Amino acid sequence: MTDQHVDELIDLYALGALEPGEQAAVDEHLDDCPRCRAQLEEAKQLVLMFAWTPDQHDPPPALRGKVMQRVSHLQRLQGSTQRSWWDRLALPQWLRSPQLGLQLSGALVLVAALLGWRIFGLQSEVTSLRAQIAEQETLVAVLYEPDTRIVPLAAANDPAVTHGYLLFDPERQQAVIKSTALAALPQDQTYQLWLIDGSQPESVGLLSTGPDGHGTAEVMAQRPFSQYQAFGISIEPAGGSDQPTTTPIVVVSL
Amino acid sequence: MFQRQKYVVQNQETDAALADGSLGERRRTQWGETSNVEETDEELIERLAGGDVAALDALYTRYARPVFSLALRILSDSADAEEVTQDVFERVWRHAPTFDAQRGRFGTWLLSMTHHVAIDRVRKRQRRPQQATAQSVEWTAPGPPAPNDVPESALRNMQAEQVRRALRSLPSSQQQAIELAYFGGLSHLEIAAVLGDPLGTVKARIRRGMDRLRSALERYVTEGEDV
Repeated sequence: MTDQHVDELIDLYALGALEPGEQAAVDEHLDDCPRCRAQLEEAKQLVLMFAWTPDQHDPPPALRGKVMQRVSHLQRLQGSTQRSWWDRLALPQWLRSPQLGLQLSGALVLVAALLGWRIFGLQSEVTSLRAQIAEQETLVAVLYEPDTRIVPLAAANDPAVTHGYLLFDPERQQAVIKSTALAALPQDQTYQLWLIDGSQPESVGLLSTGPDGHGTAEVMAQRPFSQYQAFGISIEPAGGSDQPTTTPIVVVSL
Repeated sequence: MFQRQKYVVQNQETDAALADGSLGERRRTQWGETSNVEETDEELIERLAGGDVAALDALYTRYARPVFSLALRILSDSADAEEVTQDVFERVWRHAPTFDAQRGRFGTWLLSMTHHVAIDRVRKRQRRPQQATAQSVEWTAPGPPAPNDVPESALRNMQAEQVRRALRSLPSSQQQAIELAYFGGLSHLEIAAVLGDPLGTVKARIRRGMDRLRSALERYVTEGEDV
């Protein structure tokens, strides 16, 4: 990706219409490619003009007063904050306290312990970020396919709720599911993905989601997607089931 | 390209104003109502950075209208657009000391910020993509120019008219895709889901639309030079 020019993504980038994973990949390319950078600059110039094109309406007259009042207030506040900051610097009474050395060394031990704990936390964060990057890369690869179709995953019990999207090319067996609002499940449960041909659901993978309801997973089918009628999601025991054991939370026709 | 365009646009503005006799009147209004009309945006920003809040009032006079209108277009709600306008001018005050005129003009910076703030708000509303289809694509004629326009905003209004015309001349599917991206804050994936079209189709529409805009705008420039 980084070696290839990104002409076909430049306009989308300038419009802010790339998915985060794609944007990161384009950024990486732009770092080393003056040609694509120049194209992006040109596209941005055009997009900037869109900001001036809406119908022009005057804001309510009272808004000017509100704006000016707020800023004057903030300015006064800023002035007083600055004074108290200097005041504190000028009066370091507490610095002369005899217990200060003891307090400081205690604080240092605490800081060291906290840092150790934080490093441990960061290591596991790195592991989880690596997994997220791998997921984003899969998503980006599917987004590159010109025939990719997107199906919103409407909730089975409420069509007004969208849990995410299924991205697939009808002629291929590989797809990606991206959830945007699926509550994280307890440890002993998982979301299981199904493709349905007639009445026989075929298991095509598992999906776990984060606390924000987001998750990405690869879907691997035995046949091209055009040969299935529907896609579904059910909640199953951890590790998945051979056949769905609960009512599906999503069933969408393909 | 845009440098050349500005020149042409200005001529068109003058021609149009002369044709309907509004030029003299607009000039009078400008000079009659704005005491600091000679000050450039950059000079005002410098005064503001130095702590002179009155400079913000002058900038508000010049730019409140395009800021509010862009926010309203994105948010489709007057109260939300007011809040964004207030937020944006507060940011102008806050960031005035770091504004760098070398990197671009003030109006462009201001409207980019407005777009960013308003789109951020739209996304936070977690508006479902399906609702976006309900917004039809409209590029209607602009309202009368603001009485206190100064060079950049006046110029931009005229350029905007060209871009608006170019957008209107696009096939509606291309226009709609571009608009859902810019004013709707949707990604191409979300646009495809909203419209029920394959991703490749959506990408191609946006790209073709943008290419058409480029050539249409270049054509205006050429036609302008012929006149």
